[in-house]
Amino acid sequence: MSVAAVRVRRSLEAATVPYPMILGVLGAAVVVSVVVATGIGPVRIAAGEVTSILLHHLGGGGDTAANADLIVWRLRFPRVLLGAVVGAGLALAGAVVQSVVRNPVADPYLLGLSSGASVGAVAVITTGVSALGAMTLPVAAFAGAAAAMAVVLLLARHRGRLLPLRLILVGVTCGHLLGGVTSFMLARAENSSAQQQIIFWLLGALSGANWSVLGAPSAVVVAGCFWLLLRARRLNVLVLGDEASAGLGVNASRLRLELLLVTTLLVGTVVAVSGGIGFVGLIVAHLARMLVGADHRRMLPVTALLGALFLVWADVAARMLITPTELPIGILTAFIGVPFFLLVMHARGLAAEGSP
Amino acid sequence: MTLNVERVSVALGGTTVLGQVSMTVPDGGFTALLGPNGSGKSTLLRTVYRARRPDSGRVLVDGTDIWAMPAAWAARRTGVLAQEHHSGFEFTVTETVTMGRTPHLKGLDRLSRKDHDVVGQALEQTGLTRFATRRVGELSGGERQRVLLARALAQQPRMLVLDEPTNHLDVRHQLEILELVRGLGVTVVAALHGLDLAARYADTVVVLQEGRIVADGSPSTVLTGDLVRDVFEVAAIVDKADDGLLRVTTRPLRSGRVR
Amino acid sequence: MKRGLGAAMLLLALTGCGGTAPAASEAGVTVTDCAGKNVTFPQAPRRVVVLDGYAAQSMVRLGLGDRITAVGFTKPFSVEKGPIKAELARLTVLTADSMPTTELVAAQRPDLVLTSASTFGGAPGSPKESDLSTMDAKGLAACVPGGPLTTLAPTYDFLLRIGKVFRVETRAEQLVAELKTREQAVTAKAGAGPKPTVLILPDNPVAGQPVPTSSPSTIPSAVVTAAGGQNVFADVTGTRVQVSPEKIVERDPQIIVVVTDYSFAKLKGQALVDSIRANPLLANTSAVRSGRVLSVSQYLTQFPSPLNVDALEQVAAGLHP
Repeated sequence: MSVAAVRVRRSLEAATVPYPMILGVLGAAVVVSVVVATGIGPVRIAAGEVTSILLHHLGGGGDTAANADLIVWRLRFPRVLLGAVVGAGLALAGAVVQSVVRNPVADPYLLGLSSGASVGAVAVITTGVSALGAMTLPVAAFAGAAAAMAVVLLLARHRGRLLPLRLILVGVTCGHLLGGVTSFMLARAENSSAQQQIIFWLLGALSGANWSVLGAPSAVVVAGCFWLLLRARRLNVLVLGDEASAGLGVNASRLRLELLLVTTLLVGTVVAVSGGIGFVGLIVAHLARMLVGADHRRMLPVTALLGALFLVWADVAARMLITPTELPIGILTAFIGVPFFLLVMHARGLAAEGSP
Repeated sequence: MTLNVERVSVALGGTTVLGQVSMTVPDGGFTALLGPNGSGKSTLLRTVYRARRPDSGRVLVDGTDIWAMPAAWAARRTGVLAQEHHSGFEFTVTETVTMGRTPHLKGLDRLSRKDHDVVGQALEQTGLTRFATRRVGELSGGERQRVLLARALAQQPRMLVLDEPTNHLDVRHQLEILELVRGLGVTVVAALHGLDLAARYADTVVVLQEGRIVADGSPSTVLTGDLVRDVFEVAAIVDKADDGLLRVTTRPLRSGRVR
Repeated sequence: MKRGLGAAMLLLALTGCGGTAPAASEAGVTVTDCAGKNVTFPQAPRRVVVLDGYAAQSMVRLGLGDRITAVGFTKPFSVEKGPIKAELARLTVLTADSMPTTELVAAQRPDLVLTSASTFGGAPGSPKESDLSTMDAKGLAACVPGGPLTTLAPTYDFLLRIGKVFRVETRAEQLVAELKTREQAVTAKAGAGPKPTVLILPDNPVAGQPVPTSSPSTIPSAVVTAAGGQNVFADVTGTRVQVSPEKIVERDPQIIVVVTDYSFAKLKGQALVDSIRANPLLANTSAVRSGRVLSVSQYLTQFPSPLNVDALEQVAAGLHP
């Protein structure tokens, strides 16, 4: 290998902390956080007991009649895991949307995805349809997100091309329209229980999690992450713009379409089980870029891990801050997220003058 | 690598931007596209680097229609240096240049020793080695343009497409970039604003006016005072400088009026 | 989403109830839940977690206090004047100021979770239906059907369903009969007289903002109607209703009933009534000019409970002095 090549390899790994170490530390932090977060709750259970319950089940043991077993294994642990999965999914989707529309303040909800999901969910809640049993609400939410994205893509497409500015304009406009539809349905809801469900859903929550709701979002987030890593190199190119993409052999419009479909799948499945949890998708990708740079091959895995970490702890705060009452998690992500986002903006402003 | 443009037409919003344009760039040749703003230079180049599909006509690279091949296939053969707008994300110089390897890599491929070598060589050729870890956003305009050239070189192209590569650069950097490109020995097709630059570096010039080729040939036969006057609407004196190269001196047709 | 937060708080307070007839089966007792699904109880529940004080009052009045393992949101106990006050005070309290969270409920290992709200999981962190099935507990909620409500039928329906589930039907029917007798006494007296128009206010209106009021599908509106008044906004639909101050002036209510003690209201009790009397937005209404501003606690009227009839008597006395 030439001297120059050695230098290239070094400068690609130029971060002060080696990348594998960052990944390892974050991975370990997620695992530790999940275990620790499972140990924290309004009902006090000793750390040793929590660990032995988790080990018992992970070793293949069945449910036991003990109270602690019910709380730790059937209520808390699925909820913490759901938090990790939802956090990772939203953070990944945020990173992708930011690159697709080449706008660092974009989030997964920018293109009307969550508004679409809300309309689907609220329609089910107000009409009381339950054709698919417990799955009716998530399926409707997902269908709403998918329909919203289909409309946005259709309207944003111009001469076979999918350009960022048009996407943002159409997405934001449709999002507002759908938000209005949701508000209207909420105001007209005849049934008070329906209204409560709607509002709780709009704020987003991890409560009500159990093992049965974990499967679909976990599978989608893991598969989505893998698929995005396959496209990471081209995602880098996409950020440079349509002309540069063409020169580097990347069909920008088609890649955008593919990425938005995957984002729809990610956000749709995640929002369907957790409601509209905000800010995760906006800020986590920025933190990841600060840690390991803008290269998607490096920042996407870090984004997923940070998103998981962020939401697991935001949920712990939601459960514990005013214990024994619980706060909607959307409030916590905003409380933590907004100041943090401003800090990142400030830091970025200092690091690179002229870029937003 | 030989480039054949065959009767390429492009219309935008009902207006013909290119009408039945044909040209040939021989292997290793340097062809400069000249013409005033809006004459169709950039559009013609965009059909060559696969950014705009021609409404009719074909673009052939060594006899193969590039629009019938995958985008990556074309990008392994053709590198592009165009004006790029800065986006909000900050890649480092090495990261950006490494993106030139994209058409040669699949999904999860790791960079091979060869890829590292190619990137390192591109950095060296463009004199960017000492900037390797800097963010592109921190560099000057001339340095940034060199980064984009290095990225195009990392594609290991056999043809380079340059769309006004020297815009916004000072004289020294203009010459440096074109000197470098000329020295690579690959086929070059470049849209240039400076008639002097075209005369100095190109072996063929193609003059476009309102989407049609009005003249082509060697600089000394094409660049006459009459042609410059007709196409660019300026008065021009063309003569030979001391070094034997063409020199084009221009002044307004009528002074004191901006049309 | 930010707007939703305030709305959530408001909604936690503004929830009301209607019901369906219970049906017995051989294997056990089957009742219908608020969504119309059948829920079967093979035997009477023994470990009951009651999420709110309203439902606890219903339980204790039916003589089922010993089945209550723990109770949440005990603020409604403060208005209890009857002989059961001492028994309410002896109950194990999980969370006094709010509904208990899922874990706290699960730790009690209930076989039944009871609420006077018409849904589970409405308050942040409180158990949802899916949580109830995770902890192997059944759920029973009071139901408000939606649509105009003119009687206390949802309250009676809830009491009868509790009676059915715990196999104390006779006692439940007795209690309902007593409550109905008192309700009929009020409606009989009011039926003859004129029906004044009534504006129901949960808080002091703020200039420039829409005014929240109780829609005809809520228990407070049912209380006002049964007491011989007519809700001045009887034509609005939905539960979370906000009306324009102009409409209030135009409709000119003859009486204002202030529902006090909501958590979102800054002033409580008489102080709230006084501030509403002094509010310039309402100064030109017949109600304020004639000084007819009444009050009733939300703990008597918000959710179905036997105390709804106390509220009815109290409001009727104010409407027809």
